[in-house]
Order: sequence, then C-alpha cells, then structure tokens
Amino acid sequence: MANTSLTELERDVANMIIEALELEDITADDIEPEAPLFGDGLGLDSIDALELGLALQKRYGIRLDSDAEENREHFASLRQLSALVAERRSD
Amino acid sequence: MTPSCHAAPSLTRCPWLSGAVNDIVALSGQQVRTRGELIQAIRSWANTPLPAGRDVALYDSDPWRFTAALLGLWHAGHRVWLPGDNLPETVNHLHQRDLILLGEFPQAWVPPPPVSDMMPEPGLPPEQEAVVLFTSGSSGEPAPIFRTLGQLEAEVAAFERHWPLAQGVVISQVSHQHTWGLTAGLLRALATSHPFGLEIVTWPETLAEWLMNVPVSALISSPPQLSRLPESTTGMPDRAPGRIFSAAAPLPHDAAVQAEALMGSELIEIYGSSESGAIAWRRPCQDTTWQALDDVMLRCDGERTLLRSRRLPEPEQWHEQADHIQLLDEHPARFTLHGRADRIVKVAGKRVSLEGLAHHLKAFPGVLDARCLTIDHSGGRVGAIVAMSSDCIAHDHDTRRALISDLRQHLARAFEPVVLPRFWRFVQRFPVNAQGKLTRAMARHLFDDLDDRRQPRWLDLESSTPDQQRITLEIPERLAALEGHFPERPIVPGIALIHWARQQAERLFGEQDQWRDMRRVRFPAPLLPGDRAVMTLSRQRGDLNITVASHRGQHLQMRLLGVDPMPDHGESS
Repeated sequence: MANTSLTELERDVANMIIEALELEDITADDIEPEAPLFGDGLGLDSIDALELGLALQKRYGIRLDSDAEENREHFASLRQLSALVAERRSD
Repeated sequence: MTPSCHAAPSLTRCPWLSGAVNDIVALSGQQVRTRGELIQAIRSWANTPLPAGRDVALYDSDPWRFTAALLGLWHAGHRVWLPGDNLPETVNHLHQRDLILLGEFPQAWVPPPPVSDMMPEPGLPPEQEAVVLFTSGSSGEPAPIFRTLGQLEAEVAAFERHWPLAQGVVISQVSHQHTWGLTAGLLRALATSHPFGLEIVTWPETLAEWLMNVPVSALISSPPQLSRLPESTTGMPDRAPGRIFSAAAPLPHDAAVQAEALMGSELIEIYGSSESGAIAWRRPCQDTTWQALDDVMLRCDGERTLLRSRRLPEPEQWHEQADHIQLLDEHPARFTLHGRADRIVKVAGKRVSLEGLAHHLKAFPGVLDARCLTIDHSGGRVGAIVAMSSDCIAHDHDTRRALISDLRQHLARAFEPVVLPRFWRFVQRFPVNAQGKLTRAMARHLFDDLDDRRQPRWLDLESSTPDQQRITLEIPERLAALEGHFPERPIVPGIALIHWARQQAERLFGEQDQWRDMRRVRFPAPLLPGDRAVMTLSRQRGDLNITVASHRGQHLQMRLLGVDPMPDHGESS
C-alpha cells in the first residue's frame, strides 16, 4: 500500500535516491520520512552520500556546499533532504 | 573382450595403432567398434589437409567421433583446443583466437577429403603440445592451459600405478571436453588398451543398463552425477564396476557412501585442478585426509601451498597452488584441504575478503552456502549469492527486505558498511555446471537483471525431466514494466509475463519445438514487485504448457500450440 505520509516531492526524492544508489529491495513506500538515511535507518554509507550529491545536481540542479556539517543535516532524513530540494531547486 | 595390455600405459607409443584389427576398442550395450575401424578413422583425419598456420578447436559430444578426430589430429602434428561447451559466447571466444572449428559448431569447418591414405607412424613425441584446455572459471575468466603428450601420459600412468584397471570397459559420466573426462575417461582407456564407452552415461537409469550389459573396469564420474543416484538398490544390477572415480568438485560424504553401497565397489575421489592436473586422492567413505599421488610433492610455505608435479610445465620447480592445505605428513604428503585461497578486493577503497564475507554469511541460521563477488554497479559494490533452506527463503517484498536487513546487521558486526553486500540473490542451491561448479560467469548471470531492467531475476533452473523445466524468478522492485502500472499499486503487466514465458520456451525448448500460436492465457492473481515465483514449462505432445505460480497462487497459465508436422491431418486443440 502507498505510504500516504509522503508528499509528492518526498516521493520524487525517494525515487531519486533508489535510482541513484540502485537500491534493490526498497521502494519509496518503505522509506520513513523522518528516519535517518544513513547508518541504522536506510543503511546508506559515505560513498552513497557522494552519489546522492551527484544525483541532486543532475535531477534538481542543486550544488551542495562543501560544508560537511551542513550536508550531514540535509542528508539526515528524507524530509530534510526534500526541504533542501524545495528551497534550492533550479530545474 | 580385448585382453588388457600389461605394458606401461603410454600415449607416445600409440597403442591404439597396434594389435589385431578385430579387437574391440569401444562399445555400448548395442554396438561394438573395432581397432580396424578406429585406425581407418584416425588415418582419415591424419591425412586431412588443414589451413596452414592455424590451430584447431574440437567439440564433439560423441566419444567415438571425438577420439578419432583427436588422435588423427595428433598424428598430423596439431595441438587441439578443447572448449568445455559450444555455446555462442564460447564460439565467439574461439573465433577471436582464429581457430578452425571442428565438430559440433554452428558453422563448423567442413573437412575436405584426405589427400592420401598414409598410415600414421606409431610414435608421437612427448614434448608435442597435445591439447589446450580451459580453467573451470570458478575463480576468474576461463584461461587456456597447454598440455603436452608427456604430461597427459604422466597423469594416466599415475592412475594406473595406483589403481590398475581390471578387464572391462572404461565408462564415463563426464564430458571428454574437460580435463577429468579426457584423461580418466578416454586417454586412460586408450593408453592401456581398454575399450571405452561409446556414449557418455548421463542418467542413472542408463547407468544401471550399462552395468547390466557390459563388464565395467572403471566408472568415471563426478559429484553432480553421483549425487543423483537412485536411493535404493532396486533396479541396480548385481554386477559391480571395478572402481568408481570422482573428481572435478568436492563430493558430499553422503553421496560417496550412497554410491559405494548402491554399486558395491570402491569409490576413489581425486583432488586436482585444471591447472595442475591430478594431485591427490582419498577414499571418501573412509578418509577425511588426502594423500598425494606418488609422483606429486607438496609443501607449505606459510599460507602458501607449493606443488611439484610431472603434470606441470616445469616438473622440477615448485608451483603455487590456489588451495590452502594443512600438511600432516611429508613423505608421502598427507593433508587436509581448506578451500580456495582468499580473494581480497577493494570496495570503495576498503579492502575486504570475499571469503570472509561468505564465511560469516554461512554462520547465519538457514544459510546453506554463500558466495560473494563484486558487481559492476553502484560503483563496484558487493553482491551475495546465498543458498538457503526453502523454509527460510523470502517469498515477497516484505520478507525479502526483512531477511536482507537481518543479514546486513549480522555482517555489520564484523565489516564496515561500504563492504556489506548491496545486491542479494537467494537460491535453494547454487546453480552449477556439469562439473558441479558455480562458475564466475554463472554467478554473474544471477545479476543480469541489473543490466536489463525489462528482465526479472532468473535465479534457479531445476530440470525435472527433459519434458519439464522449472525456473525460479523474482520480480525486481525497479522492473521497467512496473512504471506507471499502476502508480499507486504496481503489478507486473500480463504482457511482460507472456513475453518472459515465450523467451524461456524459446531458450529451453526452441531447438526441438516450434509453436504457431498461444491459447488459454489466464492471469488468475497479480504478481507484485518483490515476489518470488516459479515458472514451469511442460511439454505435452507438441504443445507447451506454461504456468507462473508463487506461494500466493497462480499468476499465469498459458499454452503454446505446437506446429503440426502435417497441418491437414493434425488434430487441433
């Protein structure tokens, strides 16, 4: 069943993550919007973070700053990442 | 029956050319072939003009035709490449090497008539390069291995010193296109003037028939065949083969005990590799340790295993062997075997042992076996092939996801996140080739859906009978056909199921059968992303019935109608 707690943009960003990282066993509906993307939550790692950076640029024209601390905040959850996209998208 | 020759076994002295012309050199239950016939066939090949300066590749599943061609080509001074199969990928590879293809190839070279009728000389130089075999490919791409006549002779002679053949026929269940079937099944018979079997005895039923009809001095076999013997002696004849030999992959202990009990003869297991030939032996019903063959020396240097053997290009030098052993005695070497030396790979800059990952996976409840490899996706992540007992295997999206999460957590205690497998393929047992090995190429095929998003994951082909095939498949969550079908609740479109069914029908039965139409197509229940299902294809007269079913029910039923040989008289269904 569709996870109704995702907004349209969140679903879009979730699909971008799945596509970019070639995640096999996860659909957008499996991603809890508030759950951490890295570590215990979705289980993403440091290499995935780099891939996501590229995907954000390609899909939404967003260039991440090199400030690691700030990026960690953006990547904290699907909801946070979607907020970043909403704020800075230029596609 | 041909009296066995007591001279030392030899290939260089060409014993196949000497002896009475009516000696029986090969036979089956129905047919015998004489030395005269063999010499005639060899002579024809030996005098066949081949394009100058090019090597030849020979693939022929028929032992008689193969033997005649191989020996004839040797007498003409050729070295012969022996591919393990004649699949399109292999043929391409042989074309790239500019080889002349002889035998069962789609576009085989048609030999012109012999230019003379000269009798071949009964002598061949031991240094002549005789065959080029290929490594099994379980630890990499298949690589060519060159073998001289002297090396082949040394292997045959070692077998004969350890276990002299009793009178009777040498019959084989393994292909002569591979090193084990070639030396043990064919060359040993030729070198000792014992008749060989005119057929490869693939099925247990035909094996019983052979044992009933002909006296068998040695049965050359391997684990896939010995693991599929009937469970009781009913139907097995009283006549026992002189000895049973198994090689090419580890033989499960149960299968060894079963084979000895069923056939009433001693089973010898040979350990070796395509690179080094035969190395050691044991009787698996009694021994857990291996003993080196009498012309092989082994020693350990730290973690490394070193080997000296007359089967190797420089018999006086120590060669490194890929398997780990623990040496218990030195002369003669007695040892226990501890599997392939490790493969260390780098994933995202981190070094990881693929063996180590697999080893940890095997400790997880329900996991029977595991293999890890790097996959050319997502920047070179690890893929895991996990064999699980059927009650532990996942059947749909949620259970699969939960299982993967558990396995990742289990591994995360010992490994860094980036090296944890990202791609998972669950099977009930490893797919293996005729030698019982999961090759690198076969392992990669399990991940083919990553490169073609129109395909499901094809996981497991179990051949029940020649008329029925069952294939396990899984629906990838990112399958192309799921897009927009439907956005809120994706299901696999019927058209995709039909397409897969037709593809598999073509692949598995297309050589024998043709179909003109399909009928009775039903989609009883929808198939969802993440579902695991079994496609069954059954031949019924000329037609092919195809179903796809999962633990939730049936997802496809259809029938492909065969092409009637005589449309006017054929019944229509």
